[in-house]
Amino acid sequence: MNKNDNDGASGTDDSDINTSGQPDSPGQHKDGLPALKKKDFTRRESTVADDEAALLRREKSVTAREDAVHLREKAIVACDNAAAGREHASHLREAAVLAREEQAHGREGKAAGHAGEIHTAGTIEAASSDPLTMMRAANAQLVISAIEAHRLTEQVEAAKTQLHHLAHHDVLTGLPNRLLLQDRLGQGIELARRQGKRLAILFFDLDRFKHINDSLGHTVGDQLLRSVAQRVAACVRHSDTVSRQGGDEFVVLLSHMQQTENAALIAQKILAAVAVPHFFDEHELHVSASMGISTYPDDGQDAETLIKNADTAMYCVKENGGSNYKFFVQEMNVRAVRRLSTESSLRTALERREFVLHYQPKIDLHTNMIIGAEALIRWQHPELGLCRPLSSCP
Amino acid sequence: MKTSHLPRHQIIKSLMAPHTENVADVSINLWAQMATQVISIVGDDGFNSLYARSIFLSRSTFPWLAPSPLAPQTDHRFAGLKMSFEEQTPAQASEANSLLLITFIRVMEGRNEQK
Repeated sequence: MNKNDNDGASGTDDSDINTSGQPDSPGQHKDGLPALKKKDFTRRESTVADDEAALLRREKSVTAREDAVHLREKAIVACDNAAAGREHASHLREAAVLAREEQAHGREGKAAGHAGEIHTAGTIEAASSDPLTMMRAANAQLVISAIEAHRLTEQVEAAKTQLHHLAHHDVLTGLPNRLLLQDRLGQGIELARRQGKRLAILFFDLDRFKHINDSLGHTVGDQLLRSVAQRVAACVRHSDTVSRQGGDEFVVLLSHMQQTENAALIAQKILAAVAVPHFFDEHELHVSASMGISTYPDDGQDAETLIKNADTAMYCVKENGGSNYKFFVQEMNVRAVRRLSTESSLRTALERREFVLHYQPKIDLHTNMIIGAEALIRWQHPELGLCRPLSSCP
Repeated sequence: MKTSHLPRHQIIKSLMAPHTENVADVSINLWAQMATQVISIVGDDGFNSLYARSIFLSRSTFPWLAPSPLAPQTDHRFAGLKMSFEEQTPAQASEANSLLLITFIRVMEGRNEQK
């Protein structure tokens, strides 16, 4: 509404002008109403029309503003949606990045777990708190410990075997030693007794070995002993035993022997093998051996007697020049006993000064002149009297 | 299910029997499968220990078997074994691998004695 809405007494205004644009004169109204009232009515109608037009214009303006607001709101919503879309896309990107990082962490965790499982003996370090990994590590330790226990057990058994071997074998030649020979000889005698079989003991040593050892040295002497051991072992069966008693003495046990002659054949074979020249560096050695043989049950019922008798027989061979073999006979024992007894008596005689020195003149039978003298030792035995040399020094 | 020794040995030999030419590849493939299963239980260290012990015991019969390295890499765990097989005849390689597998299983059972 404009200010003309309530102003009926205004001055010159549009209501004073008719539609032709000429102001109405005061006395010229056709219907007969008072001209002044008609004029005022017309003026009011015009004012209302103007007000309605203005109101319409205002409504249109409001509508336009509302439309503009709607449009802005729509634009804002669109912007918000776009922002939301961008934000959503951003979230998706972030989620993808997080997923990749988790995968990377997972791979790093496995690698770290594998590195942690590598440990020195006796230390365990779980790389992660994963129960499966810990159990696997525990299982691994169990396996490793069990295998290590088996390995240690094997080493202990091997050490025991080696010790047993060292205790029963000669270090230089690898042959069975005296201890093992005694054991095998005892078993062999028992078996021969049950089966009614025979066995033989061959006791031999190297002639003049001490001379070789002293002149060429112990290194060559040891090489000679090893060479002899190898050759003798090659002459006998696997069921027989070649042993080294010590020094240059060897004993061969022939078990399951059918007849005594077989021992003689073996003895000849051994002596021939030993007699073949031995070559060590620049040395060529020719050696021989003296061998005595005793047989079960003829020459003894036990190991000690058999070995002793074989030794006695060997000594008899040496007395006769060596490089030979001889079977034991009881007579050897008698002579051996006598020899031992004589040796003992001679030692006693020396201590008691029972030896006397006699001088025997040498006379020329043509001239009957004393041309010399011989110094003779005589044994003045306190019980037997003056002993002849042949009886005391055979 | 616990199998007796004889059928197990036959199974192992039957796995090797059909392959007369590419014995090395077949053997390594078998070992790879074995390793996968065993490692899932006892880990790499446990398997390596069992494998090294089996190699050690088998070398008494087949000295040409390559000794197991102390810390083998996963990808080259059986490289030495493959090389050893490739240097032998197919029959020898097959026999050796059969023995190695049998020995491995025996070691896992805790029977370490050598036949």
